[in-house]
Amino acid sequence: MSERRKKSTFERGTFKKKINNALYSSDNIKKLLIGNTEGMTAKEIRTTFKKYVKSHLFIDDTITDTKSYIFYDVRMPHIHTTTKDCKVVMFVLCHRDVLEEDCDFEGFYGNRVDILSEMVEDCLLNDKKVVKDFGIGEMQLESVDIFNNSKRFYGLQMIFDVPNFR
Amino acid sequence: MAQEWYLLKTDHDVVSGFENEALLDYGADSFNESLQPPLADEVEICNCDLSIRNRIYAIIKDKTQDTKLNSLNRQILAPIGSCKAGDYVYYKKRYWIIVGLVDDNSVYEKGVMLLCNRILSWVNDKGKVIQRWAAFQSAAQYNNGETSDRYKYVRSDQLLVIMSMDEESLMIKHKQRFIIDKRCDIYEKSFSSDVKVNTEKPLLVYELTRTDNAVFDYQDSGHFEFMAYQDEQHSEDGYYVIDGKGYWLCKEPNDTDNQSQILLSKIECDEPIIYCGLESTVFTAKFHDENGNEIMVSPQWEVRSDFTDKLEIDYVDSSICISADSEKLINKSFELLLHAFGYEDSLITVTIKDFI
Repeated sequence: MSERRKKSTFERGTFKKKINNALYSSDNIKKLLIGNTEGMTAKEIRTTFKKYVKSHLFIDDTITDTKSYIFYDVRMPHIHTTTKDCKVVMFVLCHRDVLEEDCDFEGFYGNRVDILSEMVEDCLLNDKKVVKDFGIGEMQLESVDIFNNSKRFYGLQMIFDVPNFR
Repeated sequence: MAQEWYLLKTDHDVVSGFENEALLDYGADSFNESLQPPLADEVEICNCDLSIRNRIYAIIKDKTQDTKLNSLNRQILAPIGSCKAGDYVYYKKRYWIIVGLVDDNSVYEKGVMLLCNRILSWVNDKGKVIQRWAAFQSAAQYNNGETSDRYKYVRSDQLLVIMSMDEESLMIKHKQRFIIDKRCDIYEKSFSSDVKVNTEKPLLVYELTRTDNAVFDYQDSGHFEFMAYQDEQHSEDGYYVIDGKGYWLCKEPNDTDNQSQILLSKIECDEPIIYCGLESTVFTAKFHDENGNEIMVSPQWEVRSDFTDKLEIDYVDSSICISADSEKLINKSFELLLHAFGYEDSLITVTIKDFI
């Protein structure tokens, strides 16, 4: 393991695992993405969850379902002598046909993308165990931009800043 | 003269004439109040399988005795309603059984206790291991321990076994065999923790030849006695670990058909994968009888890996729930083994994976 730590891209894999686990642990996210899970086995829930949460960025035309999705990736724009800047990029997307569909979650407002982005922020930043599990100190939300490059999908691009030792 | 009126002969100058009523009204309370150390001892009154234990203070009489046999008997004076014949009393780190009818004199109740020697284990007709503390008395004290004809000698000894009278003890089958041997304690010390079965040790084995459940039946209570005659050791008699606990057991009498049949157990799960950092994967034990019907049997689980301490394991009914949080365990595998007495072991390989 100490050998692996020396690799600069080590965080890409480990961060993705942690993000995926954190998203999966949110009942709200599972409910919004999958729908009613009653009667589904744990395996079925996991398999369906994987259909809607991907560890790479969005590629138009590869997604056909009229559903909501979360895509994420890890960028490292600057690698310094002792530290490196890691950015967790999250795409929270929803097909335009279901964007305004009824989506009742207590305490959440707006369309599906608004609600889903809030849930993502909730599960990555409000859980003390999760927020401190990445890099040095706590993960921080750096920016939120509108993603409107697809004809069928609309969404947000959320960038989280996570500095780490090299 | 009123029948209840009685003038106490006392050194006190003033008496009221109501001493008898006072004794009847307050005798039990006064006795209960007097139950304090060192006059009284803290004891536990236990039911037949020790699953119910009531801690009380009671006076234990006849602690110091002059003869060997009397030293095995005591009398317990306890608040009225505390105990009954056939109950076990845990007193000074030993189990005693109450024999003889327990009655009271409106102040306290008295029971006769007999020291239990060993715990007796057997398998009932449902396949469940039953254990009861028992007092053993020699019923062949001065024979030479052997009977013989011209060509062979066999062991010969008789024990009177005294235990609680309950549904399990009353239903012990004729010719049921028991291991009654103090050496079992020594053997167990030499067993390593992974020993599941050992039938190699020489043992003293007895079989039930005569029961008596009428003489000591007091309607609402009582104790159970039977005669055990020494038998030769069979190849299956020995030490068996069931549900993580070791027992010294004999093969059931006249049950050769069941013994030869191997029943199957099965481990059921969604998939034999544990996703690191996610919820536990649930593995459930399933057992079927010879007709294929699902039955409830207590499973015994064994996780075979060199990182068991890094797994989180919970036991819920007949299931084992395992989760893993350490990244270092990703892509590692371990074996999960299911044991149950009388069933063939079931084994699966479980892999820990990254959920991505």
